[in-house]
Amino acid sequence: MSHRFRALEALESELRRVVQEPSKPAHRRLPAPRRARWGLLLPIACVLLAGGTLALAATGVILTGSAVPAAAPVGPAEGIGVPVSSRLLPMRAKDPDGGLPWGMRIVETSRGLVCAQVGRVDNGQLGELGIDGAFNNDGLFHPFPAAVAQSFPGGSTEDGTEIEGGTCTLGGSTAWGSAVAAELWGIDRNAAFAHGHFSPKSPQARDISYGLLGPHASRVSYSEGSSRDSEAVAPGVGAYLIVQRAGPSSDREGSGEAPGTQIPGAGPGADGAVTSITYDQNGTSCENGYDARNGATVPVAHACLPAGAPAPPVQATKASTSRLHPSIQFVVRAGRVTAAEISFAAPFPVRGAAQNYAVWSKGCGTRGEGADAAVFNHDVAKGGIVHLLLKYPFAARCSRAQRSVEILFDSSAADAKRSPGRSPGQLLLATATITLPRGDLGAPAPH
Amino acid sequence: MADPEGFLPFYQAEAEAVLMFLTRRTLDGEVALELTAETFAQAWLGWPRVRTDSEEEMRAWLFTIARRQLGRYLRRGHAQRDALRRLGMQTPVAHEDDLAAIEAAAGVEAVRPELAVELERLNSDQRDALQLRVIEEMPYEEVAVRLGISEPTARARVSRALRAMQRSLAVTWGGAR
Repeated sequence: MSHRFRALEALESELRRVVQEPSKPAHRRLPAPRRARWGLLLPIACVLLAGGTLALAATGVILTGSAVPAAAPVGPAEGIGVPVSSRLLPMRAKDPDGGLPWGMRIVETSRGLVCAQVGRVDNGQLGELGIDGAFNNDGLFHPFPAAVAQSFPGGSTEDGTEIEGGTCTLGGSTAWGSAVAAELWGIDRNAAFAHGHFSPKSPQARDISYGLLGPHASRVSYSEGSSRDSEAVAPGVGAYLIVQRAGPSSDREGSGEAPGTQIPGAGPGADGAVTSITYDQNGTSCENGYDARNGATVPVAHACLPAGAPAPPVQATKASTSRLHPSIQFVVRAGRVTAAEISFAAPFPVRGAAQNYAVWSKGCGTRGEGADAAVFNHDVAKGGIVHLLLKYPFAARCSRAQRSVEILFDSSAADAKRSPGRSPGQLLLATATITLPRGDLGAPAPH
Repeated sequence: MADPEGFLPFYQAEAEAVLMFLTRRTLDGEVALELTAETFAQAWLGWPRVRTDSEEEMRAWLFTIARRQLGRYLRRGHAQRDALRRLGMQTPVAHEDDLAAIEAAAGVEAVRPELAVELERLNSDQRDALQLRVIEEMPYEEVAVRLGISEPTARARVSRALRAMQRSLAVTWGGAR
């Protein structure tokens, strides 16, 4: 089939190559979910399937099925890491249709992320319901596995923040991203975020506002139809959870989040139904007001003063730059360079998701053609070797022989340094020019 | 489980709709193409888990992925490439005339005057970056030079500005995909 745009033709060729490759691990058929032992349970399950699910659930009588299948885990030192602790918060939110309440658990990971995950709660466990197409409508409660899974197979390990039914923030000692206000919109009431039937909007869809605001947050106000309501957040972590019927704009399942810090003046903007966040610190109270659903500023009695921008300490910049001696190796296939591997000894350790090394390849030409980036999102000791793989470095027409790159260290640590003109925590370690070796050719991007 | 052989026809049927959806929300054919490539790469990775034959439901699922890509781009300032990397895929390089055709088909030109009005609501850093990139159509590298910031910072400012404006953009497009 021909497309109107050549770029879509090229993308189809790439997909065709990948689809026709045999035995991709991601495409092994998933094992069938384990079933609950039927026996005596069968008559009860039939009642559930006949429409009694939610009524029974409301009385606490609901049977537990197999655990939600865990996605392929990442290692403890990469991506979001693995759970090191998990606790279900005592807060509960009623579902508009009744039945099992909604709840939230906090999972801390080996890479220093604090993840909030939302689901239905039964018998002290968080999970999903086999209704509305999920789990073949078996009417059972399916607890989440201990591991948190990223949103999609192959989901981001680059930002490492979105997980199934939730989101992650960095630990409280970081300077940025240690608090978050988030929303899941248009999701099914079964909480089966990635294991259910992918369905168009239904009357059972929900909008869920939730967040982790840190120890200074005390209360959130939110819109409920045309009225306003408020609730106290869970002390310590500043957690809140609001479940509402999906609004008219929630025509698709989706998620969004507003990151910020635990400092009131630099806290996350309100998101979802939340219109203001109240903080109590040192005996004084202040609020941040904003309605993310219509972009309007919400008037508040005592607005939190903006936190001062951190001074840009630059003293370490030159010292670190001079120490970096990247080596560049080329990956050559059929006589053409398909990638450049940039390796160097790490001048700083990476001990969690709050830091990473990255290489940015600047675009060239009038449209910034060929701009690309690669991130090394693994723990590494100081002096350990970092490998960054930049693919097809000579594919752009305007960079057939040379490519300029920047090697950066990005950190959200509270004491992170930054280079002049860079974002907080971003340190320019080196700039380099990758030159096509004499006698070689650059591989074009596959078409 | 969805039939693997059905994936390419699915791509053929939906690719342009996804590209238009993303171009209208980023106002940038190049970024939209990167997001489209990552969307279909993620869709292929998730294909074995699709358990429906309903075209409507599959389309809804695909656009869910596209919206997530868009959301990440608006937060992070650059398109995610994890699935592309995992599959060893490369984003196609689009040439200028192709990009112009994509943006014309998406009607980006028509929205630029309205966008100029909306710019006034942004903070000055974001407004300047968006003005240079989307209204004056400069490459990111030049935006960065003009503003005295790094290219990643320029990309981040543009994406945050678009995020701040996404509600009004949704109104502008009248819910169009």
